[in-house]
Amino acid sequence: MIEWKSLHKSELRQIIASWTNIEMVKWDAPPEFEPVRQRLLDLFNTVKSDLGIDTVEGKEYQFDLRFGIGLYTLLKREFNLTESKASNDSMWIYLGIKVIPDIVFWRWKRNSLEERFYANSRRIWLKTLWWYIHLSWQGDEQKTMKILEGNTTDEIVQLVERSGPFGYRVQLCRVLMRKYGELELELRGRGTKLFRRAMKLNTARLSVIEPALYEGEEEGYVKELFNDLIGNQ
Amino acid sequence: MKAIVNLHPVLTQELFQKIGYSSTDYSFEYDLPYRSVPLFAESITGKEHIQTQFLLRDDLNVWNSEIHNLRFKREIVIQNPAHLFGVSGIAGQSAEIGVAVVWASKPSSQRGIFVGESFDIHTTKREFTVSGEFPAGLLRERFQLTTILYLKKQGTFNEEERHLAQKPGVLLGDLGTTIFHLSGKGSIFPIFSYKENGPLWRVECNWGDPRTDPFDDENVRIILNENHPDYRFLESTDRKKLSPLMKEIIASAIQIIIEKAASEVPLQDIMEGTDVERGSVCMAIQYFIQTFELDTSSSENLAFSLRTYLDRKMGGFL
Repeated sequence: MIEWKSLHKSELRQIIASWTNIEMVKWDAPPEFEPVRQRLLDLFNTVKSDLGIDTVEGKEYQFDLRFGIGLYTLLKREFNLTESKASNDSMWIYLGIKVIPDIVFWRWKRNSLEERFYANSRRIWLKTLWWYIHLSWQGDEQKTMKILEGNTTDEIVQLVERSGPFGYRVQLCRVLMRKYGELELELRGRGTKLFRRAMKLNTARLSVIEPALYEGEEEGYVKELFNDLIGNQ
Repeated sequence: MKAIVNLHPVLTQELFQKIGYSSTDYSFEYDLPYRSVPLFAESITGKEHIQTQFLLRDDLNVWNSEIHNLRFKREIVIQNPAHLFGVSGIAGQSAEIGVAVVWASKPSSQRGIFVGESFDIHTTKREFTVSGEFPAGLLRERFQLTTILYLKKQGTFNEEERHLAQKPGVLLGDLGTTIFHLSGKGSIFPIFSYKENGPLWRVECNWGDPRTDPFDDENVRIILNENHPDYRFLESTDRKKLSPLMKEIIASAIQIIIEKAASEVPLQDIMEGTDVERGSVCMAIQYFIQTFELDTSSSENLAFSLRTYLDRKMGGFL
C-alpha cells in the first residue's frame, strides 16, 4: 500500500516557485511510485498522440476528458481509489507535485499553477478530473466518453465546483450528465449556456426538493429540470 | 423563469408538540464475516449536554470505514399523525408522508438519502423505521444524519388545501441533525496524525479570511508526527484524560491560532462578531475566549489562562 504523504504549504509554494520552465520540473517521489508514474506517462503520451497534439492549446477539453477517464480507471483498478480517499486533498497534491508534476505543468504552463497543484481544494487539477469523471460515470469508459464528448472545460468547472455545502449527490449528477449528454448539441452550445443555467436552477430547487424523493426519482427530476429550461428559451 | 420556491407550510414547533413526536437514537452496526457487530455512539467529552455530536466506537477496535460497511437504523414515533394532514397541517387529507434520512459527509464531498416508511391519515401504525447502509470507502472523518418528513404522494387535489405542498419530494419537516465522528480523539478539535519528517507537531492555519472561512480541518489543523520518538508520550493511560504533553500542544496551538487570527482581524471585531460568519474561524475563537475565560490582554496572560483552563478541565476540552 502506497502512502501519500502530506506536504507543508510553504514547501509546496517553494517547489512551484522554482519551476520557471518545464525543464525545471522534476518528479521527486520514492521508487514505489515509479510504476504509477510510468502508467500515467504512458496514458499521457497515448492521449497526446491520439489527439495529434504537442501542446494543449485549443484541445484543452479533449485532453482533460481522455486523460481524466484514463486516470479514473487506472486509479480505481490499481489502487482501489475510494470516494473517501479521492476527497482527501493530500493525495492529489502529492500525486501532482511529486509524481507527475511534468504532466500538470504541461497542461497548465505557469497559469495559476498554485491553484491547480494545491492551493484551491476545488481546482486541484487531478482531483477535478477524477471527480468530473466520477460524477459522470455511466458504468464503463465507452459510455462515459460518449455522454461527455460534446462538453467543454466549462462543464467540468460547473459540475465539480458546485458541490453544495454538504457534498455531491452522486446519483443525481450522473443522471444529470447523461441527460445533458443526450440533448442535441445545438441546445447545449456555448451561446445557450444551458449547463450553467441547469446547474443554477438545480441549486435553487435542491433547497426545497430532494430529487431522490421526487416522482420518478432523479430521472424524473432531471427530465423536468431540462424541460423547464428548454421550454423557456 | 418559473418561481421555484414553494412557500408551503412545514412542521412548526407547535405542530411538533401536537403530533407527539419521539424517537429512538440511531443504532449502528457493521458486518464481519459470519456476524454483525454493533457500534456505539459515544458522547464527545465536553459536549455531552447537547447530544448532537457523537463518536462511533467499536468495542472490538476493528471497524474501519475504508474496509467495512456501516448500517444504521432509527425509529420515530408519531402519536397523532392525523394532525399533519389537512388544511392546518403540512400535507393534504389524502396525501402520503414519508420518513427519510438525509446523510451528508462534507469531508468525503458526498450526500444522499435513505427512504424509510411512510404513512397517511388512515395509518394505524405509530412507529416508523428508517434504515440505511454505507458501503466501505464512502465515508471519511465524519458524517451527519438528518431525519426528515417529505411529501411522498400528493393525493387528490383539494382547493382548500392549495396552500399545502403539492409536489412529491418536497421537504415537510426537519426532525433534527446528528453528527457522527468516525475517528478522532473524542474531540471535535481537528487533530491529525501523520508519518512525516520533522518535529513532533505543527499547526496549520490555511484560512484565507478568518471571518468567513469555516473552522474545520481544511482551514485549521494540528498535525502530530507519528514518526517522532516522543510521539508515544502523547498518549494518555486514561482515555478520558489528555496527557500533559498533549495539553501543552493544544495550549500552544490555540495560542497560535488566536494570535494569528487576531493579527488579521481586530480582536474587538472577533469578540463582537462584526462581519463574522457562523462557524467561521473567528467564531470559534470567540467561543474559545468566552468559554475558556481566556485573558487576551497579552501573550503571557493568554498562555497562562489557557493552561489554567486546560488543567481545570483535565479531560477533553471541547
